[in-house]
Amino acid sequence: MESIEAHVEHLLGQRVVDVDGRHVGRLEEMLAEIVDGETVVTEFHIGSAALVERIASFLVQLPFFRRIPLTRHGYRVGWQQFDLSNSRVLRVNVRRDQLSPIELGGSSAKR
Amino acid sequence: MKKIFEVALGIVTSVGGFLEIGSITTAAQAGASFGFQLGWSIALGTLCIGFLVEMSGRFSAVSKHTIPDAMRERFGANFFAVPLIVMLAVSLLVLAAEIGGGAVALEMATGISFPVWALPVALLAWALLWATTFSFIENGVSLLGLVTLAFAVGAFKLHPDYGALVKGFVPTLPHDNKAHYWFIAVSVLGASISPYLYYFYSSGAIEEKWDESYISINRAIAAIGMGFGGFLSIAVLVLAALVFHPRGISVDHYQQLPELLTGVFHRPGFWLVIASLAVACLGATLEIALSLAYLIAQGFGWNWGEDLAPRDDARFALTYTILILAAALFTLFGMDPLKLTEISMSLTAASLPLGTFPFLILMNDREYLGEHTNGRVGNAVVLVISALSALLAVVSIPLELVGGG
Amino acid sequence: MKFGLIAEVLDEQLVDSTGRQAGRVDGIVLDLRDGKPPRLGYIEVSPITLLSRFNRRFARWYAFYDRKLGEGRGVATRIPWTRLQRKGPTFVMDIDAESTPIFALEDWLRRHIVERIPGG
Repeated sequence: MESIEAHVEHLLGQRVVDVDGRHVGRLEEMLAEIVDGETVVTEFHIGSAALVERIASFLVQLPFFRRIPLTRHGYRVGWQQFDLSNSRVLRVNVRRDQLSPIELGGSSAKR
Repeated sequence: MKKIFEVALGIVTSVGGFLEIGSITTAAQAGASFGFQLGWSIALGTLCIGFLVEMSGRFSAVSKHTIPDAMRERFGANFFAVPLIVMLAVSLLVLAAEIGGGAVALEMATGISFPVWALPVALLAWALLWATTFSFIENGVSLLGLVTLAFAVGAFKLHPDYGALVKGFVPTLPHDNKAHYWFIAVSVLGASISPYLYYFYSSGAIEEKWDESYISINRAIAAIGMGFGGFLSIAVLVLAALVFHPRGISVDHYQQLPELLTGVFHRPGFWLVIASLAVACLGATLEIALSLAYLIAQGFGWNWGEDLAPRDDARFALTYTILILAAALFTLFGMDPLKLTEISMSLTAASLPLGTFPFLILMNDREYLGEHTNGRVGNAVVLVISALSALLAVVSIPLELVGGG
Repeated sequence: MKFGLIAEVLDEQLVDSTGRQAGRVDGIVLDLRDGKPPRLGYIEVSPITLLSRFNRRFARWYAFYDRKLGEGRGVATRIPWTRLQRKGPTFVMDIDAESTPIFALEDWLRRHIVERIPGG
């Protein structure tokens, strides 16, 4: 089985498009966990909501946070839907409207 | 009992370290040109730095991180590089001004012109950092800094009109010389709200191994220390207002500064001003050099600590060495320390938002602070500071060209 | 327990087995495999990796000059993910950093400059 490498620090901030080439957002986080004794990446978070989640999650506590446009665009993508084979163009292999959105303040916030 | 001693020490340190070339010069210029009218800028600047210092101490005591640590971890290296580079550049200029101030003090004391003193001053500062410990520097130099109390005594003895002074704490618009008025206001704010100060404070808290039990002490030190420091700046303003303003003289040369106290104390007044300038600038030189070395070392994850011998943190030690030498070059090549001070203070004001806005995000992060995150007042004050800083940023640079001359 | 690579691994402080601060996580290397989720392979600790996050050319220049400093230099130091453990705010590696190039510059500076100055 061929194995190639990817650098997380270069993937960070890269644009992600969907299967039709439509802009999804920028890659802001990768969630990892231990599966069968290995630490693997199982989820990718894309979009400005993902950035807020990572950096300023306290904004969620503000009463007017839902009005901040930043917090409404974000998607959680499972590893099977994410195509890392081309490091210049990151792709999800489904349409944008088929992706699960990030709900800030909800169960998707991992802390 | 030990904690009371620590509070006292912390206050002495803050007071002794508050006045430096920027605050002395800008307060003197403010008083000379506008009497008591700019008192509000010192009050506002002191309030701001008081809040920032308290936050900085609380942040480090609770999270066990310094601010640069947390900045890189939370925001990532790519974002962190921006405030890092800007702070480095601006603080290097401030450091250059402090070394210049020390050199000018020696010029006034000996008659030998200031560029000659650049390397001796730099060497003294470097030797203190190289061969001594954090506590020695903090406590020793700051105790010496108490000589600046002479300004307060002098101001009292001149019996200022306290009513008029208090009126100066309310911001008013200038009648004439508007550009110069706002330029000095900007410089005062840049002199009071020094990022290196609250960055240094956070590293200091870690050096002193503070924890959550120090939160009240921290609040006391920040409030009283910074408050008293601001009080000393006001004293300089009062002296300048009573000595220079009635004669229509503005402060354009360092050689004028001893006049602040010669009226009250006669010949000893001359030596008090020189000693104040020398000690204040030396203290600031040490603090800024350390602050920048901390910033770089923590950003890269190196071993750091003033209590370590240089052999155990070679990169950290060589960093402050290089910084001090580079800063000394400005004075060595004869750049006017007053000009250097004016430029560095207004650039400090211009770059404040880069530091305070991310800091505000950190101060609300429960992962770092648990239940000790900022209250609404703290957030509001820092937000206003950031907004004020942004306004200053837009205003100060053209003013530099029009008003500063 | 899921954890975020950017928020909780990248740019975090590293400490070696002797307790010394040994730099920061400048990079993370994933093994991409067909039909399996990407696996965490290594972290990288190196100015080369850090510089490459800003400008690849600067990173290459640095690597070029670093290579001249000795055997095995000029490439980023890699620590296998399995040799790391999270302890509070830092990652502890069960390796003595002296056995890696991590302290190469520090050691060189200490030997050639710091120790030659009195008081060091």
